[in-house]
Amino acid sequence: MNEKGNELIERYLYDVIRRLPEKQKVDIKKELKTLIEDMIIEKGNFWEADEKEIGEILKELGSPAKLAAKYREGEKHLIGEKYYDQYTFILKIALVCTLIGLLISKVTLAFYEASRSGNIGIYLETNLDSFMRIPYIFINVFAGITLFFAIIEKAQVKLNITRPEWKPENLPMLPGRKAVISRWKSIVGMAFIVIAAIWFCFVPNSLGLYIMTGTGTSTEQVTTSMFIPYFNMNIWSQVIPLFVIVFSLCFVNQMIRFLVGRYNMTVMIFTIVLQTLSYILDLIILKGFPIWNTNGYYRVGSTMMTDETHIFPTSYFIQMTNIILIIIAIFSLIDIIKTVYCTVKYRN
Amino acid sequence: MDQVNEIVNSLVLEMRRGMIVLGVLSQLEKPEYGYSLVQNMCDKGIAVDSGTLYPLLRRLEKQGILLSEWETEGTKPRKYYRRTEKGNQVYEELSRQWKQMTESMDQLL
Repeated sequence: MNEKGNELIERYLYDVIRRLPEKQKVDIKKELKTLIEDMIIEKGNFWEADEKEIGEILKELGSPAKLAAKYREGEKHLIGEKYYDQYTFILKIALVCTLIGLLISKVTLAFYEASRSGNIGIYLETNLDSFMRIPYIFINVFAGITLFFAIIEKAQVKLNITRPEWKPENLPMLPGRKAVISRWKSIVGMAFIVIAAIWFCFVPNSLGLYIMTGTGTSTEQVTTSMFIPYFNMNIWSQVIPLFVIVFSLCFVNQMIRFLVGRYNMTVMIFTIVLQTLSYILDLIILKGFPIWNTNGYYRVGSTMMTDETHIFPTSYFIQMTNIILIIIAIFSLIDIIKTVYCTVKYRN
Repeated sequence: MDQVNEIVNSLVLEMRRGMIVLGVLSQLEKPEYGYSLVQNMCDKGIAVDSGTLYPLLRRLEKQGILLSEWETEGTKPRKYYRRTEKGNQVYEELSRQWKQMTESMDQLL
């Protein structure tokens, strides 16, 4: 075997060895070298083998990369069979928590801030990158957990994230047709809430009355129409956080229904709690704040042709408040009763 | 036809994986070195290539089933493998299971 043949073998061995862990290098090099020499002997005369023959033998052995890979066969995956189930379990939990956390913090806060400043356009511009970062937050969570489990896989740590033992009694009941909560209804509900929230938070002064007033003598009549908003804009920035909370509660209620998809204890409890809470907040908003644009209506009243200076007396607004509260109470109660009834009757 | 071949090939690969270990263990009651093992098995109808066998021997040694020794007498150093005591027990049990399985499979096929 000539100089060049020897060199070829050495180069091949080097290319295989460099891909292998330090501890195994010497031993594997030795055994591969012996193997190659055995193969040369089998083909013919060891001493006469030239580089062409040696090259063919090396080709038979295969590319250094593939050979080294075979030696390392234990590690062809990042997260193996042993940990995969636990990995996916934890991953799901983490991603859902991230989603909920983001919804609560970023979206609710954004609503609150934007409606306080009254200008959603500017708010979005200045905080755009904060929203653009949302996908990256999910990627980060994914990467972190994957990395964590890859390390565990490498270290072969004993890990046992046991879920509670499964028993046949714990199987969920089949939802009867009536126990199913229509997913579309929940989506529509959520959409309505979002629209209402946008309306109330950003353009509350679009709700109001057109009033025609007339002035002048019996021969000349000038009528003007004015638009008087219902709501008192002065205190609006104080009320907005409360509105946001109420809308968030309603939204969460719909979301729970969407996620669960049927009447059960969870839905029932959430409905009762959230409806009650939002009603309490409604009470606070309507009773605790001068929410109506009383001044606006007073002024209108005083310019009208009749002698009465107050077409809209204070009691008018108080009555309206009470009526609204009663209506909301009735609807909330109906919802609670319906939910409880359906849950009790249909979940079994 | 190609698709059939592909499927068959991948399934055969899986079948061989378990089989080869048993075949290798059966030959290592006495010390043998890698290349002669390849040739023996080839002669007896089980073709393994060195690139598969050598890593396999290494892995079995890591599990304590085989033991290796470098023979430095003679013209060149050679690495000899043989079964350990544990390896013997593993082999006995494996071949017993194999015989049971082949009997059952013969009935199925």
